[in-house]
Amino acid sequence: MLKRLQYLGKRILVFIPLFIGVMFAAFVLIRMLPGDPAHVLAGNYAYEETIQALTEKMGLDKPILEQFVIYVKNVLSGDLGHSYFTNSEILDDLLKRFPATFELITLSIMLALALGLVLGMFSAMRPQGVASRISRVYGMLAGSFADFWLALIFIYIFFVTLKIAPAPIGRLDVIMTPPKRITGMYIADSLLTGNWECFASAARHLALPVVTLGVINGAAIMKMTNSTMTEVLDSDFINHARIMGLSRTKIRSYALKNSLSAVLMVIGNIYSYLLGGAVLIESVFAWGGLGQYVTQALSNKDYSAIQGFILVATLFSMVLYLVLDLIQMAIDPRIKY
Amino acid sequence: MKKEIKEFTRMLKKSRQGMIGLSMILVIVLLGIFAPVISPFDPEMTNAADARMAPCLLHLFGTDETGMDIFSRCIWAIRIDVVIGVCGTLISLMIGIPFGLAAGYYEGLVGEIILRIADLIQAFPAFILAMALVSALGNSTRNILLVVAFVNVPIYTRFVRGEVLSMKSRPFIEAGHTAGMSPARIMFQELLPNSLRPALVQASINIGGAILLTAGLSYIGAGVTIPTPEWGSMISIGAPLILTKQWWAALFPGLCIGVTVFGFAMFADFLRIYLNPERR
Amino acid sequence: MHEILKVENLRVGFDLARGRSHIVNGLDLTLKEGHLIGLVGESGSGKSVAASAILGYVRKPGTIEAGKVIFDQTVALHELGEEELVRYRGKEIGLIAANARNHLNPLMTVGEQIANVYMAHNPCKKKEAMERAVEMLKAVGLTDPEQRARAYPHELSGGMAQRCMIAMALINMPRVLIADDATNGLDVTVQAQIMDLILQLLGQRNMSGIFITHDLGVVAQCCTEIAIMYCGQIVEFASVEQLFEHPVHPYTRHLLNALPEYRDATVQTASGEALIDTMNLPEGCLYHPRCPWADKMCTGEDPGSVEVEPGHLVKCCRTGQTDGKEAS
Repeated sequence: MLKRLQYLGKRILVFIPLFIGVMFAAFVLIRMLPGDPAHVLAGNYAYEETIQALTEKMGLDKPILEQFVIYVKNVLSGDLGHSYFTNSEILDDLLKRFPATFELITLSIMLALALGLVLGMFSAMRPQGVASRISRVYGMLAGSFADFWLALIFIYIFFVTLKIAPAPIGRLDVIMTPPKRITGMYIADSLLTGNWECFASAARHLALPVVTLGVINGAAIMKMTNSTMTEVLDSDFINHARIMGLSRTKIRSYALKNSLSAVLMVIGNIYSYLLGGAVLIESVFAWGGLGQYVTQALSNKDYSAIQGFILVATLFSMVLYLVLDLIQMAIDPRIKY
Repeated sequence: MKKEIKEFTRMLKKSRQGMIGLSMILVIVLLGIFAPVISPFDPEMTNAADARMAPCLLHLFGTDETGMDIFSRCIWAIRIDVVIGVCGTLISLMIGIPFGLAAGYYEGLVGEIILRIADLIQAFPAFILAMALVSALGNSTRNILLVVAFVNVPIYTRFVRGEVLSMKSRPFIEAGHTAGMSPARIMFQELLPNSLRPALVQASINIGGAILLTAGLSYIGAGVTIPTPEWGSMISIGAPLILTKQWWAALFPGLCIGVTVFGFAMFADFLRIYLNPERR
Repeated sequence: MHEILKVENLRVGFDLARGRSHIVNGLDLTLKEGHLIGLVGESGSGKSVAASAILGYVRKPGTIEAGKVIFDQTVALHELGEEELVRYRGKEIGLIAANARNHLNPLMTVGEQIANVYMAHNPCKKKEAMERAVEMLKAVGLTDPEQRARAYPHELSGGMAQRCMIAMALINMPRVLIADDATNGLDVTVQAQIMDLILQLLGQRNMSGIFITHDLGVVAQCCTEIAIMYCGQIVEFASVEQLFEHPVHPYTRHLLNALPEYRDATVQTASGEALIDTMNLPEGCLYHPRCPWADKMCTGEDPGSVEVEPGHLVKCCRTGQTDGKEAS
């Protein structure tokens, strides 16, 4: 146990310089965006003096390094800055937006995992079977189509034509008030507060985006499961287990456990990509998540908001990979830590 | 070289996947080249009178909100999407390979620095980084191409580095050292040809991803701008029309993306098997 | 005498990209109860494939083309479906493989793996199976078996892992044990210990066995019969005394020639070392391309088995003619 804690500590130590590097690179990159926020904020017909005053107020007249030091100091004291566009604290904005995206992509990945693991497993167990053929076609197709396009097609089928899906606007029916905020994720909060009406509405709104992302991303998981599992199924120990008369179910569970590390890697990649990459789906469904937030911030040149997003995204992938590492260690006793 | 081509065609004939993939790519490329001849309308010509027309003989794929002919635009868009996908990937490859060679060959400080830079780029949320870079550089087609190329460079750098590391201890590299070959010669004459095959396979797999990235950027408004014909931005024009039952404006450009990426994926799968050293 | 295992005309081939590779080509073998056959052949002669094919299983892309396997004189294993075969694998016939650590699941404690093999054939609670596994680990001579049962394969030495394999093979008290090169890759001293252990356990439990090896010396010490395998066929089968006193098949004599104590006694046989091309097997006797005595007769039909003396079978067209003569 102590060893594990030590390992965790080491991982975090390695991460810190990378984290600072990313934050600084983002800091510089953001200031390279054409147009400056003071201009945007003051409007097209502002006086030069107004802009000057705004620039000073926002601290943008100082050298970049100094600005960065000030920013780091503020972050360490829990202040991520203020958005002059939404006129609220960045931290509050992020705390509002993050759960929306997190809920969406987590459910999507769970669906993708279910699809990918099952199809990948069966096609590896019977390479000539029907399941295998279906998976091959599915893998090729799902990897080829754009997720935002598939979402639009789903909307056309299920909302416009069949009218069984809710309108693709937001996370709840318009007339509904969100459940009492505990985690910020509507599904979780409505469950925790026993607000069934709200739960149903949230679930209905989640259905299409989750299915879209799940179907598209399940293909990558399926391919990885299939290829590692095929390899594992051909290994000496599986062959020996068969010769010792273990049941098919047992063989399957041996093989699955031995393929899991590779699958976890893919999950990590998809997860950290989707935190920002789900922006396309978010914009189709007017989800109001992190992706849309940062898109807006980019067009407004809202420096602190973009920086705040980078901070959240980087922290998120760090925590994510740490958790995946811990799972990996729990599965595989050979990993040294 | 001649033998290589012969072997390639022989394998290709045997592989249904390779044949389908290659012919799909060929058809798409030809359509793109002959776009001015094939497309019945000017892709950027608006025509308010014919707006929102359903697919018919005149407008095979219908028209969009401003009356632009979707079929013509889909054909012309090949010139943007496929060119960005293919050229962007080639540029990534061309930048990524030398860095990968260096990172693998000089495992010390140089390798470490290259690797950390790759880490840095990959630590950013990829799609958002691309969006930010495009908006920093300005969204011309050339800039989008460069950005698509840039965000993928670390993939090849890592990949080639891995190949080089696994090759370094092999006898023919050691022999090069003892024979007094210069590092540059070892890298480009020995290591490069041997890591090129797997890198090419990786690249062929990524072309589809580059096309999807381009379309995604344009859909969100951070890429090619309207009215330039590009599949992603065409879908964004078609998106609101979906709600009013005018499905064609979004459907066809999306299908074009799907068919193109599918063709490249099929061909990539064939290449993976063809270039697999174990096959020989 | 009771024949516990009888294999007739077993054929296994592998479908490769370049064609079909014929690995086992009509193997005949009879194991009498309580006997121990040493199956000897060079690497690549199809020994391991034959061993798993007896249990109705071959690795992909291999398939069993033909053959009868009769267990206990009554059960035709070759006629059973997968579901029924599973009841015999690891239960009536146990198998010990070489390189134990590769043959154990790396992500599971050895105790659990052994318990799983027990549970596969004896419906019981996991706890009971674990207890049986620990008992078995004790029986194979591991010190501190409770703790060893909780170890993962990579934490064990090669010898310990091999003992675990033996425990796994024997936990269901099989009536036949096949040891496939069971001591390969171990230190010489450990090899001897493992051999002794297997022999001792076989004796205690009154099991029959097939020892697959390429070491004639080991076979001479502990087996009752020897089967010499070449290119997926048994070319000579005899009791240990018969074979060492009166080897008939040219290939057998070639192998014996490799043993220092036989070098002077047998006639030098200039057998070639050419690899067998399993894609294109020769016509007639499979050994004739390498055989110094081969002539036209050998390239015709399959020689079939000839009983040169009671219980001594030889697959050669020229039995009796090659004896003692110099190769021309």
